[in-house]
Amino acid sequence: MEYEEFIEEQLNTIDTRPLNDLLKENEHFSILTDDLTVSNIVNSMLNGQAILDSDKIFDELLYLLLSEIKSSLVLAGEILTICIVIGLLSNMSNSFGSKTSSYIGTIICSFIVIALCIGSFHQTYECCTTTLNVMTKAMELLLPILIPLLISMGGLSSASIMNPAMAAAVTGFNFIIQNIVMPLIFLSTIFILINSITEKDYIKRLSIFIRKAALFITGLCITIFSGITAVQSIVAKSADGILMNTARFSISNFVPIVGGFASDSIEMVISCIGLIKNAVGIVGIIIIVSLLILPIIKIMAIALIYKLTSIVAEPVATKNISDGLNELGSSAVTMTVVLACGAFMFLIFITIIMSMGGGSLWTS
Amino acid sequence: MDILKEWVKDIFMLMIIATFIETLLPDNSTSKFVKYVFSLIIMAAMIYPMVKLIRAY
Repeated sequence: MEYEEFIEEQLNTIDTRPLNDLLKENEHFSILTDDLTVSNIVNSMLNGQAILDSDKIFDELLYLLLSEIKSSLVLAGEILTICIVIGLLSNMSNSFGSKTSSYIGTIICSFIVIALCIGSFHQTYECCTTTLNVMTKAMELLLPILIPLLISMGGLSSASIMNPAMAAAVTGFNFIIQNIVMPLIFLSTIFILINSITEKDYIKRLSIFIRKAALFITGLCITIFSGITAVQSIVAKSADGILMNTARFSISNFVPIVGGFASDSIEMVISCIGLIKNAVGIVGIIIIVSLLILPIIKIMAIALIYKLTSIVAEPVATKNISDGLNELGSSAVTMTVVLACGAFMFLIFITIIMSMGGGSLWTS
Repeated sequence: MDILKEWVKDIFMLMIIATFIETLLPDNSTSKFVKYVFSLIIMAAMIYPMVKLIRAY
């Protein structure tokens, strides 16, 4: 089998070590597959086997979700206990003599709830930022492997346009999310929590506005970055298509006797490299998705716990506390949405590179 | 970012102080007036960074 040998040879020449290292060093990849390397994926694509074992993944995900919920139950228990104390204080205020003392007790209890919530929310925040950093690192490792493959397929102008555009988009997106969007979400959460101390709503609308603004900024960034990249990729693809087709036709027509054979073998080389490029792209997609899964499950579990606590605390605690907990859950969900949007953009980038050149021909 | 941090800190402290003082006030007509003054102060604290931005540009 000639093409298998060729693919083997090409795989040995490209350096996929950083990707394999990244796959190994993150323990969450054990969820997906045990031994996931670029060459394994190429082999299973050649033989038409399934890359992932879906039953096992589903079981693992369910187990992860349940264990995360279980570990967050402690926090829910603590918050609920304090809510019960709050209910006791506000309902028994007549037996304490003065109303003020019970009210101060309620406020102090609210402070404890807020401290607990901010503590756990900060962990969620850290989790989000690390995930974003690791995803960006994965993209930065993936681009130097994908772009040379694109060049060796004949996509000269595509590669020279895509590389800086994508690198700038990935880095810029990471910067904007980490320095503008995430702090804004955190800030709105702090405002929501402070608002739950007082009976009157002082800054509720402000905090909701800030959260909406953060989501809007994320959406805008994704639209701009992926739009620019997609448009450029279309233009570059047609330019490369003209170049490659001209080269192939001129070889087959102007070189006598062996010309047709040579142009056919060019075709085969390009298809084989396209297969490797798509395999690397699939590895990239698997990396991004599996990096995303664990934090999303974690944050979703925490958001669920917040919402459930607010539901359970509603009969006993004051209205503000349960409202605050509910909004806190919404903030956690917002963070997940931002993270998922980032991953979505990275997936779009990988797909754009994968779709370039396709498997066989540069068609515009 | 520093302006934002200061802003959040100011509003946080003001809210806490306002809540405590409102609690400690006796129930009469003065307390309503004091509450009103506190809400004015919190509003001013919210507007403050916008005024600063307008002045800067």
